[in-house]
Amino acid sequence: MGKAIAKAFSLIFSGDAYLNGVILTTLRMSLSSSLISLIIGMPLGVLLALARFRGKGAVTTILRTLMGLPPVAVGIGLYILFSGTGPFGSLRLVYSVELMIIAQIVLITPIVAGMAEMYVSQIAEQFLDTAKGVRLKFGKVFLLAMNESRFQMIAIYLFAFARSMAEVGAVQIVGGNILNKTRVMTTTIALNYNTGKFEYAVALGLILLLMVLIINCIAGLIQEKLK
Amino acid sequence: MKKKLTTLFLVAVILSLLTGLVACNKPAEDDMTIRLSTTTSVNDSGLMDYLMPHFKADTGYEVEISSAGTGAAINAARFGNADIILVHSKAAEDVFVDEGFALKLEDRSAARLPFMYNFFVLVGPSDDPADAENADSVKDAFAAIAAGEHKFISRGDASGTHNKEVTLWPAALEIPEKTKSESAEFPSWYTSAGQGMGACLTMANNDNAYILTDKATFLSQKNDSDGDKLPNLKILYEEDDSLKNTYSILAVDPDAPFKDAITGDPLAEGKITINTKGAKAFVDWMLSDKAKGLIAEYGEAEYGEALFYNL
Repeated sequence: MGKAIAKAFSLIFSGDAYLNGVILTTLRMSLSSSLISLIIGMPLGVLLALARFRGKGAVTTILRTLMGLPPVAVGIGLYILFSGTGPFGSLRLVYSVELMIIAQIVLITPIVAGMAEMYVSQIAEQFLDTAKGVRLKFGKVFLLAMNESRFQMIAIYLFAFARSMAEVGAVQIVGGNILNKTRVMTTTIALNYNTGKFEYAVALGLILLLMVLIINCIAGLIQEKLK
Repeated sequence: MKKKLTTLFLVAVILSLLTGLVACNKPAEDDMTIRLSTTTSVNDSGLMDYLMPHFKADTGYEVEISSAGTGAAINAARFGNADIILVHSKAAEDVFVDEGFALKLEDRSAARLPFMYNFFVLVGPSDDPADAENADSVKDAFAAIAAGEHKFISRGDASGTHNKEVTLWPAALEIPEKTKSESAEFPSWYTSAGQGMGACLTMANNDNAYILTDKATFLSQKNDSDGDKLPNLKILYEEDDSLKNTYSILAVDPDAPFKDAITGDPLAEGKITINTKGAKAFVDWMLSDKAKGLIAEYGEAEYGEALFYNL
């Protein structure tokens, strides 16, 4: 382990072009997929928490089930859909970063929506009562609830980002781990594990953790600003 | 406050568009990209990473190498996601050819082009309790392991290595049959790991177990820059004809009987685009004297012996 830590630091400061490429691809994939998931999932979750309609319980249960989507199964499903012989084959997205982003969005959006729903439904009761009192329109209530959950949103985003960065099953399948194209940190770690280069694999894992830490710090700063 | 939130969202939208899906939906790939589907073990050996810069310098083609288990690697071609495949599982290749997926290129005698080989090796604990080292053949060595009920780690993942291993056991054990059935009960000394070569070797090293491996992965762990990662294991049997591991290239036929991935109906001709020109350039180069020379040298510098031999 000590060796791995030393290796991690020497790798970071070596400016290795191969590693830099892998890190950039990882960031591109995780940042865009987590942001898109936040944009889609947050309003959906808040809406679900505030809305009153028949079958709400069922929808909520479905959403919470989707939070546990198995990544490998999602990967295979998307692989089939986007293969040359699949319905979206003409897009030629198999083995591309774009399809990896799509896979992450499929996996993360339910998590974002589910977490937002859970948070807002806790405060929904008093919230709706007050809104009724001052006769606010539903649109206004929705915006207020969104605003009310902005701190929570940062936490949810961080979770989504970390999950996107750490996922390996789906991106391995839809990305194919192609050198200089779809190779990300997790698939590089798996590759090195398979070839028996355990220390290098652990060193890469530490670098991955460091990347999450940096994003955490940035998010913390934004959270401060929002206060 | 609401303004801040709106700004935050706007920033998020812009960022995600910039980093994400803008590059999506680009027009059909230019012809200078070849999609090669290969098995994890080929990719893990590092051979392609070593050869491809030479190929690119000579021909200008960029090869995108995706790797998966043998089954998935071949399926990539069936799903229209590969221009060419490089695999080492003759039975699976023959099925691929019979189905009409492989293209016989002009100037070539067949669609399946075997071009290099190496040997699987049987490795095991240094004290070799089954005395596999002195067996008359590799099948005798496997029989001795089974008779003594010595621990054995199987890849168990339908890889080329695994497919070879199951054929080496005494027929009475019915290992191939058990491998095919979902609810198989293997003998207690036989572990079906379902993992890659590197992970299985580590497992065998920790358990003092026997294991069938490709030589490249074994040597790379033996000669790791941080020292010997497999101190408990040594090569017991190699270069037996039944351990020969032949690698072939197969170009994908653009007129192959592709099936719709959802309905299973035959696809209209021309729906799948295959870079046949690129595939031909790849085959011509891989079978050239220059590539043969490079393949023969691979491993010499690092391990003092070649890892692949030309056919």
